Amino acid sequence: MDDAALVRRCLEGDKRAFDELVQRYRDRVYGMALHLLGDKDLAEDVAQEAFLRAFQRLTLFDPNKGSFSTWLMTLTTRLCLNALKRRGLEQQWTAEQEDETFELTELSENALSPEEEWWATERRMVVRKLLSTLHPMQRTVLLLRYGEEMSIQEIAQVLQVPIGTVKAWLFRGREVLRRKLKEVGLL
Amino acid sequence: MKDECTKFLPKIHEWIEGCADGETALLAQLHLRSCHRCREIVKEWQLIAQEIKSSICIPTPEGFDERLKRRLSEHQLVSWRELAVSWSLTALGAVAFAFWFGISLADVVRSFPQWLIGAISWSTSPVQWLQKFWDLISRWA
Repeated sequence: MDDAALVRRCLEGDKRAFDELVQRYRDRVYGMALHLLGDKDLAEDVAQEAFLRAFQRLTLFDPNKGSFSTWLMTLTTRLCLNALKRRGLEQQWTAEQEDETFELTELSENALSPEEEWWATERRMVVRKLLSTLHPMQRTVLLLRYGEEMSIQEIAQVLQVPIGTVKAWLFRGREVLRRKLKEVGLL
Repeated sequence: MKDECTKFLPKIHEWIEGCADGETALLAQLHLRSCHRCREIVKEWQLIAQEIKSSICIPTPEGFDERLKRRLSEHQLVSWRELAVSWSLTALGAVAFAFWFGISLADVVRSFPQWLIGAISWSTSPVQWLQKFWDLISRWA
C-alpha cells in the first residue's frame, strides 16, 4: 500500500496505518535528526516530535503537492534547524561526542559477504563522521539532496532561502566532503 | 587543479544538478569532454552522493516505538481534556449570559421556533432575520 493510501486510512481513524508509516520512515527521520543534531537523545526527541506533528497535521498533507516522505522530512528538518538554533548553530562537537554518536549498529545488508558488509559499515561510519564536521547548512543541504533526493527548489522551500544559496551550500559542502574523503583515502 | 577547471567546476555542478541554463550546460559539457581531471571529480561527486544516500538511515534506539505510542496517546488524552474544558467553559458562559439577562430555560424553549425560522430565512432575507433577532434581544433586555 502506498503512503497516500495509508494517510487516507489514518484520516479515517485507522491507527495501524499510522504505525505502518512510522515503521517505514522512523530510521530515515531519526537518521536525519542524528546527522543534523549530533546528539542521540535530542535526535530521538526531535524524531518523535516530527511524527507527533505529522499525526496532528495529517489533514494538511496534500498528496497533489508532493510525496508524504518529502512532507515528513520537511517537518523533521525544520524541527532540527529550530533545535540547532536554540542550541547555537555554530556549536561544534568535541571529538569525544563524535566518536560516541555513530555506533556500529547497522542494518545488515543481506546481499553482502561479512567482509563486504563490515567494509560498507566502516565507510558509512567515516562518511557520517566527516559529514558531521561540515557547516550545519551545508550538511543539511547535502542530506536533503542526496539522502532524500529532494530537488534544489524543494530544498529552497524547506529552508526558506533563495535557490542560489542552496546551490552554493551544495557545491561547497560537496567539495569539502570530497577533499576530506580523499584525505582519509575513501576516494 | 588548473585555473580553467576552478572556473568550470561550479558550471559543471549546476549542469549535474539540472539547474544550468542552456549556455552553462553546453560550456560544462564541452569542458568535461576535454578535461580528464574534471571527469574524475564528477565521478567522485557521484560516489559521494551514493555514500550519503546509504548513510541516511540509522536504526532508531530500542523502545522508540513504545515511547512514541505513549506520546501519541498522551497527546490524544490532552486533546480530549482540552475539548472537555472548552465545552464546559462555553456552557458556563451561556449560563452566565442567561443569568445576567434574566433568560430562563422556558424562554429559550419558547423562542426556539422563532430562532429556527430566523435561521432558515437567513439565506433569503437576512435583513428580516436581523430585525427578528433584534426584536427578541430587545424584548429580553
